[in-house]
Amino acid sequence: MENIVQIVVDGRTIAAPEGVPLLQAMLDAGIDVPHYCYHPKLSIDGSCRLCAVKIEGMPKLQIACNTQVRAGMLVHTDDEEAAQTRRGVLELLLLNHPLDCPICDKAGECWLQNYSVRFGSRRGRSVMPRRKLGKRLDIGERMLLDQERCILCRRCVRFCREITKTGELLIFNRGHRSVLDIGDSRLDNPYSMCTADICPVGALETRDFHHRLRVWFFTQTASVCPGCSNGCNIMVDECYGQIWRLFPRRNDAVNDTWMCDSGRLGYRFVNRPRLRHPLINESGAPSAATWSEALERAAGGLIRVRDTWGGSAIGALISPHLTTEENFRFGELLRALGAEKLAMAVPRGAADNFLIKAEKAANARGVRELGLVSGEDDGLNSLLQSVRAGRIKALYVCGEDLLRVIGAEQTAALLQPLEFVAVQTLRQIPEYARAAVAFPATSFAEKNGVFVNHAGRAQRIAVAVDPPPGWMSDGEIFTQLLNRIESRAERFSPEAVWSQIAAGNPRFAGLSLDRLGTLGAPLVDPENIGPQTVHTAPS
Amino acid sequence: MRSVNVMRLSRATIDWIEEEKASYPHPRAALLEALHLARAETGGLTMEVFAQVGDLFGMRAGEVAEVASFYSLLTLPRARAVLQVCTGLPCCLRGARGVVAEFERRLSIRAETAASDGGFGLAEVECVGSCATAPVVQVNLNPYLENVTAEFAASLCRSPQTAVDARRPAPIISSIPSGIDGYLLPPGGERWDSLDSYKAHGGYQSAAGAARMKPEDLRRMVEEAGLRGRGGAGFVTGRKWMFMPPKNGGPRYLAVNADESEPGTFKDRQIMERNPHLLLEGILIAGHAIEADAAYIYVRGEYVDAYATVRRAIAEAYRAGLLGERALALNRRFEVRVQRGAGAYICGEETGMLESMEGKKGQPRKRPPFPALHGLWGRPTTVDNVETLSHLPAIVARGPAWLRDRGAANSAGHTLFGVSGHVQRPGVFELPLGVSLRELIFKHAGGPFEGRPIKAVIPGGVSMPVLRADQIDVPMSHDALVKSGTMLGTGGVIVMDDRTCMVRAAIVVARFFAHESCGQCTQCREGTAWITSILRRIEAGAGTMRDLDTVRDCCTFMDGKCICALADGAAWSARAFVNQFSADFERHLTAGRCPFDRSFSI
Repeated sequence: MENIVQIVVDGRTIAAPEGVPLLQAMLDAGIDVPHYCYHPKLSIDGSCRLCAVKIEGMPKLQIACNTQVRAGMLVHTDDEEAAQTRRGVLELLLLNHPLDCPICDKAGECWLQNYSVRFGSRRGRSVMPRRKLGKRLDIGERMLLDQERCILCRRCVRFCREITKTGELLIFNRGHRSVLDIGDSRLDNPYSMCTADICPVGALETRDFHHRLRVWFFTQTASVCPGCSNGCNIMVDECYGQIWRLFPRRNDAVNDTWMCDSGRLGYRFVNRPRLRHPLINESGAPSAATWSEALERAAGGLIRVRDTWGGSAIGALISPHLTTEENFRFGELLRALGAEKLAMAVPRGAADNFLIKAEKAANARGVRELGLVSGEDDGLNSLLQSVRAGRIKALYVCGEDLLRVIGAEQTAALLQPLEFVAVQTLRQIPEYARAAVAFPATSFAEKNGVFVNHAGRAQRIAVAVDPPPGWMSDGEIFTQLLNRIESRAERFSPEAVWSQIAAGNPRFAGLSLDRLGTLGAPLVDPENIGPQTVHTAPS
Repeated sequence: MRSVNVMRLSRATIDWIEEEKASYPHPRAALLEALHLARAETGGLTMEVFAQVGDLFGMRAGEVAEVASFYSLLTLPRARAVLQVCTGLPCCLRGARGVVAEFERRLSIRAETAASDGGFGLAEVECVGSCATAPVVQVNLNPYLENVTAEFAASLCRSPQTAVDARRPAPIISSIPSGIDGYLLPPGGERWDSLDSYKAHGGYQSAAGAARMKPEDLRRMVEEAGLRGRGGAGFVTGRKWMFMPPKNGGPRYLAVNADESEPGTFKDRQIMERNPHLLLEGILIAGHAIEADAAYIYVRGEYVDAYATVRRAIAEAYRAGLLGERALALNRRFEVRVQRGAGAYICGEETGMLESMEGKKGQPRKRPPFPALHGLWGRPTTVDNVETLSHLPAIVARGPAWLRDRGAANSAGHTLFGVSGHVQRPGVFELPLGVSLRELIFKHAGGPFEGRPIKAVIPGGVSMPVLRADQIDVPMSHDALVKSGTMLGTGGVIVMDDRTCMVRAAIVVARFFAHESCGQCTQCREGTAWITSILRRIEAGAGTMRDLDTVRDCCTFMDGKCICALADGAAWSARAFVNQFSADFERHLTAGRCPFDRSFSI
């Protein structure tokens, strides 16, 4: 059991578990002690010396990162000697720093900048030429290294040694000739871009974000990575209606402070040419249509098949990329139509035993928890057989996963004989040309909602990019169709739908959106849920 | 046609490496030895060689390269004959710069480079621990060439082979002054480097006696004797031993610090070369006192003679059954191994040494945890210096009171004082602690040349604050020197006469620390280099008064703020030069050039 003790920092009493790093205790209490080498998810290095504080009873300053909290400790961060040490460390780090902030990606979120302004001295005293080292070095497929900016805090070295266990980054030579570099292998591990996150300066930069935009233009939104079923917590950086960057957000129950490179680069589809208006196909070729035309067409087509062949002739492919609320509403629509054959195609790919999961969709588990699909293959083969046997006359396809799971040719062949096909898709796809109606789908970045990750943790996503005026999200499309079938006049509200889910489904009982907060919460019924971890506030 | 010439390690070398690996609890401890062997065999360490060495240790080539890049001896220029000129302060004071210039002129290569034909390479190296026979040159990893004259330097330039084959008699420079009952050095010019010669003088009787004592009694006895560590820090040895936790089943180690690298210090080498069994006997006694299972001796890589002598002595001791399965009267297994370093002062810092012994970069560990709880391979470990351990046989034989009676208050026993620089008879003298610094310089080391006045004296290796000539009437004891604003350190005294430019002396010392900083802590890594560059600017006549304040500030940033004491030493020494000899610095500033025309050059 953690033994919570009290310590006094600058006259303020704070509580912290005994034995934790003093630095972490102070940071958790909101006391902003500057530091470079310390990182909560890496071993303690103790070399930057920036977090030195005065502790009563100790003759010398102590680095707070390597000092364990003990009851009654009297700590002074405002001690004159400590302030002088901070000033000294910062002045020394700047002696050889290239000061190329105007072209550095990190400017604006650089800890050398921030701390120098807050704790440094105002005037440089060095008149020596600065050290020349490698700049923009090609160290990996996704990473660049600027050795001149490096302050040798060794966070990246420890990351490669302790987290990915690949050890690509090393520090060669000694003393003031020390230099960060790769050895015999390039920095190409699947998490390589995390080194840019933990780099306190602009020494490690991602090629993806290199010289793209100044960081202060961003609007940042807390969300969840859509790349796989792990549901890594992320921040989404938006500007000019585009996403420029994703980066991990700390959630100790899910991803600590990391995310994989493919997830990080997975935002690009949001910015790429998308289907921006509905399409209808009356004459053999899709053409643009208004939302209401498309909705009329779709509702009419579905009703006609139901009235002719019965509801059981309607099949649906549910998307594991849509939110739980949207899929819940889709379920209501399908029930209203009497559809029975529901299935989900989940694309699969490589996995590791760290963060990367085989299911390449964020919310497959949410669909299963809603009870919309069942079986090993989420009902996919059964649906495909029914279509091929001609028992299904109309198919409602959400997303593009079918192409990835059964291939483009098979997809086209599958849709060909059907009487009616409706699709919701991010892009205009040739294989979907057969569809009578194609609605534009909405990405994870353009809506609010909840994903349930592989371990059964419900986590919120939020609008990071505003969709154009008049836009209908997938949930709105389902709602509008339902309105037309059941003569209702509702709007889609993810919050209202979530309350409905939480009230009706025991697995979601009590999980209000407030309760989920920014870190999410596990579904009810612990035996089917992954290991429980104490939530920790993001840092 | 393009020929690909990949150097492969020979079978014999690989076998040797495998044998070394097998002699440690963790095979990686043999990595530096393997790199030495690989470098000797292939001429230079390339990524292909690192890959081959890596294969033997389950390491990637890059990891091996990272370790190698830390060490000076593994990063020398690649050539058949690499001439390494010691440019530590004692050598500089006695003309090392002239030797470098001679080589540069005759070979037409600059220091830190090699000739394009791969014949000669030239390097300026930091203090090699042969300060009494300065200037000193080492060719590859051959024995030192001492007291190098211009003619001798010229003779080395005839061909790379001449340089590789060159040998020069090494005078014995350590002695017990008359009237002193010495117990560390053999008398006269004798070498007791064989087991027989050591036993003939009563050797190994103390170890046998100690083995009959209970370890805790032995620890108390040594604490009572007041023996303080001779490696520089002066911690009470018996008390350090008390930090060892009670036995808990796992192995415990004694790590012997023979990485003597503090400029001005060349005393441990005297024991290892002239009296190696004294060290082994001390190791047996300490090993019993701390209930260690094995001792590992870490000798600096440059000390080829000392390494060979100690290695031979260990082999002899094994053959005689003094070590091994049933080590002398301990009635249990006790192993002793010797490892060589690869050129890094910081490996003389106790935790830097432990890292290096484990086959890593010698970067000191943060404390806590301390080595007594978490030392070599994470096991309880005591680190003791060569000279410290060599006191133990005498303490056991003659009792703690006997040692306390020799020396001064809080400074028991004899020590090996080294005197170098501007004196007529530089050398190592076994004398009781508390002898006056003046007596040491004038009576034992013969005083300065031609009766010149003394200007400055560093009393205990360059980390210790320098004294002015008017401060040398001080007993060489821990307490007295602290009162004088300095410290005993390693007892390596460096004398500078009135011609010396103290800015140059400060540069040589600052350059040493910048070269030897391990590079972990910000202040040390950046500060040592900054101080050096500011001092160089002052020496060049381009300094300002504000530069002196900047040096003082930088010393404040470093002093007591880093993982280990290297930064402290760098700060103490720089601050002392600037404060004690501010007139010298100011003359540079006002003259706009160095006013000391007859000073040594750097």
